[in-house]
Amino acid sequence: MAHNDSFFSALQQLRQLPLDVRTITLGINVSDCHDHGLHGLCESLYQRIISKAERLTGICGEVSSLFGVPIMQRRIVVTPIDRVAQGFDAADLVNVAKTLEGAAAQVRVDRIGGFAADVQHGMSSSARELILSLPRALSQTVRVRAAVHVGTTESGVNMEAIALMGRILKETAEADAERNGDAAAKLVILANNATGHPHLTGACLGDGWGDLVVHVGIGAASIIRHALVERLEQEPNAPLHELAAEIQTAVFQSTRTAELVGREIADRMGADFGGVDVSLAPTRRPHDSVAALLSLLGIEQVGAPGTATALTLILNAVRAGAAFASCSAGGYSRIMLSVLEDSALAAATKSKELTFDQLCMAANAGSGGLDLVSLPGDTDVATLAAIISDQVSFAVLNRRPAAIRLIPVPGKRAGEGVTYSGMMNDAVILPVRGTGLSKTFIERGGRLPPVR
Amino acid sequence: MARRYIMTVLAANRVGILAALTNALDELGGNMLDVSQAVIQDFFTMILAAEFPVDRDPEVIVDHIRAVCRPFGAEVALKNPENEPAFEIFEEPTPRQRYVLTAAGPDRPGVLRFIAHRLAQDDIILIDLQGMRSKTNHSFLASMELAVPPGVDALKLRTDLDHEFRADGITIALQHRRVLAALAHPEPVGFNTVSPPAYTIAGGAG
Repeated sequence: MAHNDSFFSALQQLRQLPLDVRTITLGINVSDCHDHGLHGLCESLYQRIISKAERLTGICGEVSSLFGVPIMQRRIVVTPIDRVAQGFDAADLVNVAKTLEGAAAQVRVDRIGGFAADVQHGMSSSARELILSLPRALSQTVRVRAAVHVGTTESGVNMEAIALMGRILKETAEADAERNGDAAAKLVILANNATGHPHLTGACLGDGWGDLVVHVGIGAASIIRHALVERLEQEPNAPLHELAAEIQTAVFQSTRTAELVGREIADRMGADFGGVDVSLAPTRRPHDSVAALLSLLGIEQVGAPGTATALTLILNAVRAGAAFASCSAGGYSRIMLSVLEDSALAAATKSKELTFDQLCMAANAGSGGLDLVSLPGDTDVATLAAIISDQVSFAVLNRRPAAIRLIPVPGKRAGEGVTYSGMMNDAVILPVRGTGLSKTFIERGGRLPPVR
Repeated sequence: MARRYIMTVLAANRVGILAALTNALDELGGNMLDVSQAVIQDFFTMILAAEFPVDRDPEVIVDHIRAVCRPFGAEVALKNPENEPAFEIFEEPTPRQRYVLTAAGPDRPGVLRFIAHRLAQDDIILIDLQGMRSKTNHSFLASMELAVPPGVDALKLRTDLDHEFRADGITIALQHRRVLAALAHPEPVGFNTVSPPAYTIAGGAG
């Protein structure tokens, strides 16, 4: 019985933390499911996923209730399909995507990643067919998430692939025109995608992860907000380093919680425990906006001067907190400024103060790429490719990963509103300046040599 | 075979009580097994288990200890476990889960009473209880470590308590022991392998 003040004050601090876990990701090795026949491949993929993942939802529920920690989203990732499904054409690959969809639905997970191609050095015919299948694959499925890896610091950037992706992105959006191009939101273009830890979007089961692994993504937006609000109540004029310390502590707490939950789930699933993805991302709950943290810090609207500074402060605090919390913390953490998933960011698009260029700048101060940004539907293919290649170039130059998701909204122009179902908010399309001026550059194709 | 006693001591807190008590135990040939103490509002209390040689007369033990404690104005109570109605010691097939329940807010009578009844309803064992009331503003914070049997929904417990106390501005939190340990210990999760021992029940005492 230790009846003393320090016990109580510690308890006061910990007792009402809004702890949660953003994602649980089950990585399943499917590389041995390859088959020369489409039917054999699909059947074996389906059975493999079902047999490995069928207990996942139940176990997530049990562990979530045991610890009193909600888990916001369950996902599966598989070995990149361009490796597994070799020798098939685009039409066949659409069926593979549907197989993944069916399996994910059967085991009741929200997303399935791994419909992906690695083209950073060159493009195999299987990778090309997968890319060509994307418009149909993504408009005809709900849970499937696709990724194309286009460049790294060491290998350079495949500009030809990016040029192709500009076109594919537009076609994907147009294939889903009734849903405002939603399918394009399920496609991410990656740079410097290390196999170390799967990132939020574009997750695949990277090389060397074994047959079954559980990764966990932290839920930190609520708990950072809670910490900042409490601190600012006591000290409204707190200096920046004190707020950074609060963020660091909050991220420490979320990382510890996530690892506890992730390890317990891995244990019960008979899987390896992989890593903790310490990215800061918004969720659909009202207070879980990442951009709103900026206004707590004192940047009244995201995008205004000071945004990059504030993001740097947050990012450093996130990394410091996570590094001490866990030996399995992902090597690279980022702040996801996902326009359509972040209520404050989506609202900012309506204000006329936020510009596309500000988003590009913010994307480089910690976010690692433009994420879920809706663009005018008539943006030409070369401009789309050039926007992507700019983001990729920043990443490759700064030796960090990037993940880019753009949605050219069919039939809509800058200034018009867009609505999506599911996790996304309403937003207004931002105008992009300088369109139509990059055609000659992009059409040259080729590649960017590696960064020395 | 040794003779075992459970003893409690209650006294106004003063330097020397523990010294005197342990002197007495030594003189009696006794050995302290388990002990816990607390100081509340300047009063000291201790509960301990001690064992003595079997040939030591129980009345001698009791008298000697009381004599030693009398100058401190300390009250001593002793119980011999052998004289208690038989404890049924049984192993539960599934171990209980440990949670920490905390309640905090403006103080009013009846809070602990309601919680205690609610815990008993679900056969929840109270392992540790601490409470403190602020001297300045009549708010309190109480913390209870619970051993919850399998099949009891801890979240429902929290919701029920929250429902009862919300109107009075009293907040209820319920956290699994492993979550609190993960938040509080320096070592990362997975390396912090000190888990609480499986709780064995003796009788129906809660």
